[in-house]
Amino acid sequence: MNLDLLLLLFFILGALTSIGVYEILKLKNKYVIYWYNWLLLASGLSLLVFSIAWAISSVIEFENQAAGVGLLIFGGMALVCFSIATKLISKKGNEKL
Amino acid sequence: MDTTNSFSKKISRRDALKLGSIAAMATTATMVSPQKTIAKPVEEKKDSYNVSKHGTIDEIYNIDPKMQRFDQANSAFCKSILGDFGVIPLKPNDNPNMKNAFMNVVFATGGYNPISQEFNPHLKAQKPGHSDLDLALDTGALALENMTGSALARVLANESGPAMPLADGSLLPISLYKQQVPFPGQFNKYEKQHKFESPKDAAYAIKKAAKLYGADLVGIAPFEERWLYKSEVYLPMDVNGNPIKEHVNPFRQVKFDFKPKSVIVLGFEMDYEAYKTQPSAIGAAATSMGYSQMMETSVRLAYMIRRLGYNTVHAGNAVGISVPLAIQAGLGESSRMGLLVTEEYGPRVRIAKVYTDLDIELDKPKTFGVKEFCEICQKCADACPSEAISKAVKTTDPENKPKNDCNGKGVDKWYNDHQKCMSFWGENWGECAVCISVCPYNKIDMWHHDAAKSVTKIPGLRRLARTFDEIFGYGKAGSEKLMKAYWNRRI
Ligand code: SF4
Ligand code: SF4
Repeated sequence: MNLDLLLLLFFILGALTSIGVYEILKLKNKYVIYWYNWLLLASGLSLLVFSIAWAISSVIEFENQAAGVGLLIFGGMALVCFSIATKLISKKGNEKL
Repeated sequence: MDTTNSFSKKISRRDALKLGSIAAMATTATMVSPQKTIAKPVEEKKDSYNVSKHGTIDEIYNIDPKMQRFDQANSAFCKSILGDFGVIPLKPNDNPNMKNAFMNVVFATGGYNPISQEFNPHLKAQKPGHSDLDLALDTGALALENMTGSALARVLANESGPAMPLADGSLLPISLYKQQVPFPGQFNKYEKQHKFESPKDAAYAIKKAAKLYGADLVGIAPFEERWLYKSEVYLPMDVNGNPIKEHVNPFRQVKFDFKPKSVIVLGFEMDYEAYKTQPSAIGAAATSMGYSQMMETSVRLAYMIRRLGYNTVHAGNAVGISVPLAIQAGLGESSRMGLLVTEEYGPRVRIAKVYTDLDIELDKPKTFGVKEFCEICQKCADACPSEAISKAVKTTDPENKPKNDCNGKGVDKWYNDHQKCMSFWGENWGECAVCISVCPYNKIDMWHHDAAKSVTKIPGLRRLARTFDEIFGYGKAGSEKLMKAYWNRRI
């Protein structure tokens, strides 16, 4: 197992997570965000990170199909969460004045 | 003041990035810590989610109190090598005259079976997984095992014969056959007995030593006669490996020259990547490494315990059946394919054991849902090239009947057809173990597999776990691509 590669990839993953968290927090300046939106955003981000972590781990153990399918399933679920959340958040009347 | 604004003022984008990266790094470090480089822990792992402990194996499986001890002569290997198991033609164009197909496995490396007078067709064609390079890999891996023969008999274990005294007082056996045995038992035990403060301390020391000597798993089971073979195979050969004419019967009663109290059960992980190529000589090399390790570690542990002043008999597959002992020692559970399934490596393990009269704390059997998952999964049965594995849903289903003498009777388990299995080995000119390779429990120790394995413990999600294992593409046995890839990958 290539540990250096694994650490580097997870470092990139950390960076992506940070950007995700930062972008989500920025939304709070523009919109009123209810608890269920927070839940959707948090689930979406966790699923996205999980899907990338899954894919990387699978590639490292040469399970390319597992990587692809994992990305598709967990990443897809993340996208669903994000799209519902953005729809709900950007509803009329949710903008902060 | 808006709290978010103050938050974003205090933490800049760059800071957030740094923090996030550090957090992710910390999480990653724990997830992927190079476990092999760290000394193996002796303390037992904390039991993971949904693991139950039991008093004895009888609390888990229905075992007939009148169960007869199994005869090693009836084991699939003995029947294949020493008996005439023959071959069941599997496909219409299989050669029905091929006698004792299993001997193809024995002669695979040389490429010619002098009994059937057939050449190894896979080797001739240099098929991926059966090429000279692949077979050489297996030959090297089996080297130590070949010197000891632990796959079948306790060759070094009790056949001291004329022995060479060593500096530490032990005897090095130089003959394979028990002739005038000055000290029946494996090696001369030390006169002064070391006293441990408690059986718990003894168990700690023995487990620590076993891990140092190369075991991946160690557990301790009570000695029970019911798991001893009724008769065992031994090799009536002289030092040069020539058969001793006056001893033509290779089976004898199992006897100890001391009263064993417990059995130290050792588990050895077999290489995951090599096992992905099954059924091939590359996968066989991983098995062979397991056999060599079985002998290496059990010999060392036996030497150590005898130096402490206690008796031992160590064995690979010999002396008694390993799976119930391993279950009783808390190493894992039985499965549809009949092999031990461990939490750590699934069925990808080999087992060795050391019988001893040392007072040592016993372990408890544990279950983590294997039987229940096997009832749903059946992946091994679907993948088995000889259809040898039972497809009965439950062990109690009427169609789950013993197939032949190879099936030990009186124990609640799935009955598989070992004759069919060995026939495929013969056809393949090598071992198979596809069942082990495809099993959803056969995964490496990585965080995402632990997550997936925990799904098999949730009753409503077991079918999903099996389906996902398939969708994710795990366990593609028989793939020539994987066999070729084994040598091409640079790790
Ligand atoms: S070793 Fe191969 S042939 Fe034998 S039971 Fe397993 S899968 Fe079937
Ligand atoms: S493949 Fe499935 S049915 Fe077979 S032993 Fe493994 S878990 Fe059980």
